[in-house]
Amino acid sequence: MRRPVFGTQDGAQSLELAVALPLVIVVATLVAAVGQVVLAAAGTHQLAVGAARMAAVAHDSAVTAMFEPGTITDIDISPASGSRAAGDLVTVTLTRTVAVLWVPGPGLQVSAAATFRTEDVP
Amino acid sequence: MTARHDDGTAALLTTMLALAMLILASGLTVHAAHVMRGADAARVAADAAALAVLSGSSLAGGTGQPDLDTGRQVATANGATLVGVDTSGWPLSTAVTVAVKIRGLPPGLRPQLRATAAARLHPLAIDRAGLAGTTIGKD
Repeated sequence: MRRPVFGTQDGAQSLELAVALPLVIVVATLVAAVGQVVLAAAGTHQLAVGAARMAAVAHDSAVTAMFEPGTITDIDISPASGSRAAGDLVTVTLTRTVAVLWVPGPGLQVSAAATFRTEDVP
Repeated sequence: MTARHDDGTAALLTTMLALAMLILASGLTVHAAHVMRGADAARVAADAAALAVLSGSSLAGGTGQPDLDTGRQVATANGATLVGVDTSGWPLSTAVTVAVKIRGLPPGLRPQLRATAAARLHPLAIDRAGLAGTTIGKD
């Protein structure tokens, strides 16, 4: 006698699992990816804050020297040392490339900026 | 209605319920991320604004008045709004409160985060040459 494929509870549960599992995996993967990007953004912001603090009291070369080569994709300090004076606002914008979910490739660019008042004339 | 139909409906309902919970959890995760980011921005903005306001102190070489304009500009540049300045410790200290609106929700539903930071000057003792100095720092 031929057994019906979906005629039993086991069959219904298998179907349910087959439908739900890929969705669960996709959503969990997306949540992990979002978490990774958020952590990278928070880390980049902290680095930008530290760099802006440094830029408020030091020359641009001291700011760029804070970072190991290759850790930062781009750093923009505005206004640059030499043209900023005490009292000016200095903004440091950092850009980093983050590999999302450890997928090889160009990755995702994350930027963050922080602004401080220049305390000293570098 | 047959037993097979009941099983199928139950499976569909369970799947839809699980999916709805996952989507809700994802939404809450994204919202939590926005709140974390807003809190971080508020902390940094308050910190920078407090230092900027205190730079107006005569002990720091300023005009003698709290530099509210610069404090406001610094807070705005860091994504916050200056909402309060406590100058009861002036000219040695100040406390600044800023507010940041959390993004990721419709404009009318955006909660506001507030952060307060204090900055304090620590005058140094007059040295033998008779020169006084101050250091500026944050609390």
